[in-house]
This record gives sequence, structure tokens and C-alpha cells, in this order.
Amino acid sequence: MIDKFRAKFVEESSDNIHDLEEALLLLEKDMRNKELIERIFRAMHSLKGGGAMFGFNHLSEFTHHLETIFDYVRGGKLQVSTELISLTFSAIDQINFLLKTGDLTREEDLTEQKAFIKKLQSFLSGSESSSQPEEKKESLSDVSSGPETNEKTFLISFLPHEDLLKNGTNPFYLLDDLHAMGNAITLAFAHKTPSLDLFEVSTNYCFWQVILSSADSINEIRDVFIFVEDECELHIDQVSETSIVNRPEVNALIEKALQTNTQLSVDDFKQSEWTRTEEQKDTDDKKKAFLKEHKIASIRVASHKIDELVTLVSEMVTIQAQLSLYAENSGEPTIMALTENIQKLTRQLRDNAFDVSLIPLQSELMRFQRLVRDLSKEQKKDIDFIIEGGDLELDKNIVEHLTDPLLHILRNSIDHGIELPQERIAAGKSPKGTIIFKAYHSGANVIIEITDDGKGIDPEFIKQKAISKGIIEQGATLDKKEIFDLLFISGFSTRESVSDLSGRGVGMDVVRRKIANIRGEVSLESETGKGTIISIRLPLTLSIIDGLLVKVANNQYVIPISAIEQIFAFDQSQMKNTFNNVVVINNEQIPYIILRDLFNEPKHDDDKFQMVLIRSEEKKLGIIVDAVIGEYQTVVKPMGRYLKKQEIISGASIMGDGTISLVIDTSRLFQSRRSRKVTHVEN
Amino acid sequence: MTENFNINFKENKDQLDMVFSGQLTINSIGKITESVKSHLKNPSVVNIQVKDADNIDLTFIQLLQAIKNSGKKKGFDVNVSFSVSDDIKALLKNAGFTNYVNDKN
Repeated sequence: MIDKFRAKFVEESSDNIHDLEEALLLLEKDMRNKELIERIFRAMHSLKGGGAMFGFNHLSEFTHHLETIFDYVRGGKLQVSTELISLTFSAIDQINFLLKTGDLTREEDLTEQKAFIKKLQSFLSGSESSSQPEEKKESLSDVSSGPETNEKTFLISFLPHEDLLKNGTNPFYLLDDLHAMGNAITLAFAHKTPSLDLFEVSTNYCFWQVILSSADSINEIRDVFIFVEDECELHIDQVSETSIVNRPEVNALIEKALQTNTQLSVDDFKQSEWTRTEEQKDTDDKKKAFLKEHKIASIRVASHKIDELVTLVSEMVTIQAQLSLYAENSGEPTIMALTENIQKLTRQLRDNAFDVSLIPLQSELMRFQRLVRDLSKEQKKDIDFIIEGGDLELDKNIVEHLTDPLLHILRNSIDHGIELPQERIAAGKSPKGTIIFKAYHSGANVIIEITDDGKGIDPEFIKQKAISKGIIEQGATLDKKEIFDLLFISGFSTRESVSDLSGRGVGMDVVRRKIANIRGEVSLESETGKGTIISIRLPLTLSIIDGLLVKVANNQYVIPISAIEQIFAFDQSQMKNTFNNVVVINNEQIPYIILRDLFNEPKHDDDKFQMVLIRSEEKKLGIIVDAVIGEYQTVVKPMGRYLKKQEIISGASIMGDGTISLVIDTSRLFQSRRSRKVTHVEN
Repeated sequence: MTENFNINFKENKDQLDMVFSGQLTINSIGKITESVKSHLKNPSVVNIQVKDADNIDLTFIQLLQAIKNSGKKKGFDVNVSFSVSDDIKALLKNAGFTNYVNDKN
């Protein structure tokens, strides 16, 4: 059970770290943004508190030091600087390590951790204004007790059981958590501690009362103690509708309580008319209701459960197709009506399951931002990384497989694209380079473009390299695009893994292979001296698509409906009037492909055909098929190892009657037509 | 295995000086307490100094409290001084042990 909670903590901490990194990157651009500083502090605070609760003691201790630095920052005692941000990023790496390993046991890890903590401490002590934390607290109290705040004051009585310390709980961190919620004064009652002869080392003898002025609700305060609720007596009472910490009356109460070792009671505060009004009670209830509502607005689900859901829905779609076929053959009106309803529901269920499996690209963008920041600093380059369309959603399986290739492309851009500031100035450019990461929808596809304004790629250099490697022959005539395509050819690169150090072109064949694995395509455009654009075209999903079922000879094929623009009837006489497989439709010249020719099927006997007009970007292509059967929800199954390399078919689908239909990859069909044209011209 | 805490004892006639450093937490409190008990015979003054502490938790603060209470019981004076990092000071202050932070022991 504990392991389950620990695993949950690690998972949730990843979100905190993500939030932390995002806020840090923003803070670097806006170093006085108080909201971001608070956000960073809160994320650290959660990591520290959670770490202590779930037995990540080293993590908790480490984060505490980091949190202290940011406590100084938010208290105005320390300025945000690039050094601080770099230090914090390194600390995040250590936090990630501590989350992965748990408490450290290896001597070298412990030494490293200790050294890092010293570094954090010396950063703090090195700052000019870090000498008096007490002053800091006082200044915070001045701020928080101002008339503009919406703070109330609470009396918190925390009376832990004797065994509290034995399970690893450190009450100091809980009390520290309370201080992070607002302006607080803690009363420690340690008078029950015995003399040394009766002293039990791990027994708790203390209890505490805290007077806290905070804008947080009682429930939020109670959350601090959520994991020790069974091991303590806890009372939280609102004693004033305003912030009263540091008032002389309150200080007098505290002094008396500590002198007499007597707990404060709610009644001690009532005499000063610090009671809560009905109106405020109502507001508090509303706030609680809002919080409750907010908490159930989203839930976290294990990704394997989503995979299972999508698989089950896929199977259901196949069974539903069988049912539809049966109903159609039976001709029974009741069954047909029921089947139609089931079909509608299945479609909705499919869309829903598909939607659930989408995740925003944003979830991975932090890694890219971090990479650009760290690498550019390391290489002394000044780079502005701009993200457009980060909120776009993609199938989680696509996103998972996309990260490594994208990291590699970005690394290439930084290492070899963007020049050093002095080189850029000499080339008449701004000293600051730009990398734009842009994601957008294009029909049924998502396009990701990575554009840099660096030195670009010299096609002549690529050509010579290809000649030297024996990929092309000396004197071969290639246009610019064909030359850049050489970068993606296996053998042009010498590296095998995308995680290897980049070189322009190094590992790009692996990038293409990885992207092809998720049915995507990658292309490159570059202009010497101006920069490079790498475009990745991806499908929205990998598993289920709306398809148009067509017949070609004795086989059935599926064309994704998202790519289809129109369907036309077509006959032999129209075909006879065409030249070089180009037909004129609505005054527009449309090239076409006859699927029978493509699949080496015999010529069609019938005079009538159908032309399915598909579109890719601005290009159109007609596909000549024998007949259009109808719309079909297609569960796309992979082609398997032996058929994986063939190009025009992206997958297969099992039909209601158990036969197989092949799914046509329309993007590759465009490419295929282009290469056939090139071949034809060359011949 | 090396200890991650250190205690220096210095006995001068009936005065005992103790200097604590390192990890003064629950993981080492048993050994720290045993060590203190073995040195604490019949002093008239005990001077406790805490410096270069990597971390301090409640168990150590309770130990100091227990030494003080022993002093009251057996009639010896206990003086405690802290020379610790600002973040440990802040942690102690937030836990209500301002007497240690403010050096009013």
C-alpha cells in the first residue's frame, strides 16, 4: 500500500517538476514576476512536504534548502538572477534523480548530495541580504497584515501522539508548511519532555499551537496534516475574520500561554470580537464547494488503462461491423434499426475513447525548452525559442514516440544551425538566434515545423559527402530537395541512435525511421545563410479512422475520409481524353492514379469507374477505383514485420465478414506518384 | 561505517563542553544520546554548542530539552548556543523553538 502511495507521489511530483521548470523558464524572461516566484515556491513546498510524508527524506531535505532560497526571493531578500535559475535547474535534475532512486545509500551519491546542499547554502549566504531570516518574517507579516488582503486568522492546535516520530514524520516540516500558507506564529510546548534518565529518543513529547493568518480555507490548512490525521489530535478554528498576527493583544496571549504552559483556546480570542460573520461563513462554504468541484474536474488515469480502452473499443467497432452486415443480410427491420443505433453509439464511443487518448503536445515541450536553454548557455549562444500551437493534442502513443526525434532535431539546430553571436553579427543578423517550434492541424494531419534562422545547410557540401560515401555517383544531377533528402538516407549518417551527439545530418535517417514508425513523414528545406525548416507530418491517431471502402478488382481498400475531397463517376471516354494521367475537372488539372495499374491488377472490363479526389496540402490527386462501397469505421491494424516496408499501404482492417481490407496511405500515394513521374521523365 | 554526526566533548574540572555537528536527526539520535549520557557525570555547568549542523529535527531538540531538565533535577546549569545556517534557524523558528534561534537560552 505504501509503495502505491510512493508511486503516486512520484507521478504527481513529475507534474510539480514540470510546473517548476515551466515557471522557471518564464521567470528567466520576467525576473520580477511575483506570481511566478510564488508558483515556484509552492511547487518546491509540495515536493518537500510530500517527500517527507512518503519517506523520500533526502529529497525533502534537499528541497527544503532550495525552498529556503525561494522563500528569500519572495520575501524580497534575494534577487532572481540567471545564476539562480541555472542553479535551480541543476537542482531539479537532482530532484529527479532523488525521485527515481529514493533515499540515497551509495557513499558517492551522499557526498554529491551534501556538496550540492553546501552549494545551495553558500548561494544563500553569498547573497547580500540573507543574514536575518527573522527580519524576513517580520517584513512578510507587515505585508500580509495589510488592509488589502483577504486573510483570516486561525488557531491550529496540533497534538501529535507519542509515536509520531517513529514512522518517519518530521513535524518541523508540517509547521513549516503552515508558515508557507501565510503569516504565522508557532507556540511549541516541550515541557513534557522528561529528564535524560527517562528520555526515550524516538518518543514525541511536544505539541504545538499555531496562530495563522492566511487566505486559505480550513480545509486547505487541514490538508497539511492529511497524512498524520490518525496520529494526532488536531483542531483548527477560525478566531478572527482579519489578520491579527503580531497584534499586541495576541502577543500578550502567546506570552502568557508559554509562561504557564497552557494552551490557547478559541475563547481567548472571542473577547476582542474576532468572530466570524454569517456572510463570511457563506463565502467560505462557497469556496469549499468550488474547491470540491475543481478537484473532480479531472482525474488521473494510468496510461495502460487508456490503451486497454482503445483496444476494446477497436474490437467493438469490428464486431459492430459484423453485426451491421448480419442485419443488412437479414433484412429484418427491428434488427436493422437496433444495429443502426448501436452503430451510432459505437461511433460516439470510439470518438470519446480517441479523445481520451489525446494529450497536449505541451506536456513534452518543457523538455525542449530546457534543452534549448541548457545547450545554448553551454555553447554561449543566444537563442529565442518560440512555441506556437503547444496546446495542440495528439495521440499519446504518437507523442511518446515523437519526443526523441524532436529532441534530436532541436539539438541539431542549436549545435549546427544557430551561429555564435559574433558570427551572426558578421553575417548581418541579429546576435540572438531564433528557433520556432510550430504545431498546427492540416486536414487529418498534424504538422510540426522546427524553423531556425541559422546558417542553413550547404547543398553542395551534402552532395560531396554523399559522393564520398558512395551514395550517389559523381556527376549525378539532383535538385535541391533531392539533395536534402540524402540526409535521411541510411548510411549517410554514421550514428545509430537519435540520442547520440548531433551533427547536421547525423542520425537523421534514424529520425525519419522513428517518425515513419508512427506513420509520420519528415522533410527538410534549407537556405544557406538563412536557416532550415524541418517539417513533420503526423496522423492524429494510430488506431481508428473513418474510411471510405472501395473496390479494386477482387480486393477492398480503405481510403481515409479525412483526405477525401470529392467522388466522381468516371468512364472510359473521359479517360481517353486525358494526357499523361491528368484530367481536367472544374477547369482544374488533376493528376490521377489507377489503382488497378498500381497493384498490377488486370484492366477493368466495365466502362464505369469512380474517381476519389484526395488532397494533401495544396495538391490534389484522383484515385481511380472500380467502385465505391461506402463509409466504414476502420480499425487500423499494423501490417506486421514482413509487410512493414511496403509503402502505399499503412495498415489493414478486418471486415465484418472476416475478410481483410488494406488501408491506403494517401500521403505516400502522393509521393509515389511524384517518384513515378520522376522515373518516367528520366526514362 | 562513518557516522554522519560529530560530538566533541571537553571536560574541564566540573565543566562539560559539548559541540554537536552534522546530521542531528532521528537516524542518529540514539547514538548521540548514548554518547551524551556516558559523558554527563556530575558537572556543575554544561555548555552545549551546535554548529555546522547539516540538519536538525525534533528528536535533537527534545534531547537538549532533556539535558536541561536533567540540569534542573540534578542542579547543574545548561547553556545552549546555536551557530547554524539560516535555513535551519528558519525551520526552528517556524517550529516554535525561537529560544534557540534567538540565543536566549
